Amino acid sequence: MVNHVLNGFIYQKFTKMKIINSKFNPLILALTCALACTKKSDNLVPFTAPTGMLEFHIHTYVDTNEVEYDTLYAIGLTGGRKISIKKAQLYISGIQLVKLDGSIYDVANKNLLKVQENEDLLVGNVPVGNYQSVKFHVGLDATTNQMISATLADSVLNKPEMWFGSSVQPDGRISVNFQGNIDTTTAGNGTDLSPFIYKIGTIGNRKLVSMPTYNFTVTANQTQFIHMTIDYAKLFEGIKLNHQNNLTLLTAANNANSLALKLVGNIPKMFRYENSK
Amino acid sequence: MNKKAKIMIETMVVFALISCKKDEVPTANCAKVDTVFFSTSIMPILNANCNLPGCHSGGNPSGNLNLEDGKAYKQLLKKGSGYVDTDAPETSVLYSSLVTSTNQMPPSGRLDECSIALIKSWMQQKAKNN
Repeated sequence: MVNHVLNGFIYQKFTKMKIINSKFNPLILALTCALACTKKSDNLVPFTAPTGMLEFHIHTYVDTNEVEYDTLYAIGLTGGRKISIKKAQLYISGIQLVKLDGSIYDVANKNLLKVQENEDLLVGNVPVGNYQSVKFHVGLDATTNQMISATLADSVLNKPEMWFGSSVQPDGRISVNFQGNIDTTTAGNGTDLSPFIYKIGTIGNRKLVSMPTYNFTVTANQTQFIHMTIDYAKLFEGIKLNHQNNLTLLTAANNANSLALKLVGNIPKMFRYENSK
Repeated sequence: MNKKAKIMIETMVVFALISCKKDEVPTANCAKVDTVFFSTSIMPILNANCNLPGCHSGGNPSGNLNLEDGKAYKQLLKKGSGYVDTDAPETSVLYSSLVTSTNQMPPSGRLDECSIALIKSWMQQKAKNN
């Protein structure tokens, strides 16, 4: 509309003044084209920052072995210790993208449940631009952790296997649910595997993971993946497996004990970018 | 309005219309393919660009994704992997890795547009093992 008004103004002005002369033609043409080529959207549509889709693509590993979904089998940890996995899943929330200038973009209200059988986790639309890293928490924020599932539209939160009890309250949700069987011999060369169950949770144990530098670009209308792996074997670091008490962490109340603290301390070590050392 | 002014106004209108032509995305001049076959259209692309030593082949393939003949289809279509998306190919891991500016695949350089278009078409055609 602005263009039309200006074009009309130019026409009226020039015809009225009778100065239309071939000398002015190039100038008038250039001005008209410049005005006419202004995209209408620039004038009529409110500015919104362009966005691109961001997704996490995460493989579940135990040491150097990828754990296939719905599979129960023995695999060798470094040193030969045997382990089999029944369940390996965790919540990711509080995702933050670190821009190249160091500022932070918060991905609001996004809770992800990483299960073995799904590697593809949608983070959502985020501003286009260059980023240098990503941060997130393992576990849910205090409010979400206590929300009763029936009131939630977010289906990843409605997972009874991620509750400490038969309902969400009073103990909240489990952050990391890791179960299986493992050789508990000191030498790590046994063949009889003992069951272990680690249900890590509580707000106090919500753990920040700050990934190292990894430059990536989010482009408008494209999907950008961040490829990562989760190595559950890292959870066992510093845990004496030949102690029976170190094989079970079941309740929210127990999540204050020394085993829980060691396990939680190991959580950030589990994550790395795919193909990084 | 004199004749000169009329000609000039008409010229301006023509120029304005030409210059406001909608931005067009250049399209590759690719051969038209009605049905994209995995064995004869997609696998050759994978063999030439992905199924290479130190990449997506062997006992320890990059990203644990083996794209060798006889393994590639099963790996790409693994449930929950997201490598292939027949409903929205542009959001698949496979397509995204070909067009992204971050760690683009293959690392040696972007595939030609016709190859990328073929892979997208194969997904749009339900990613059959044909």
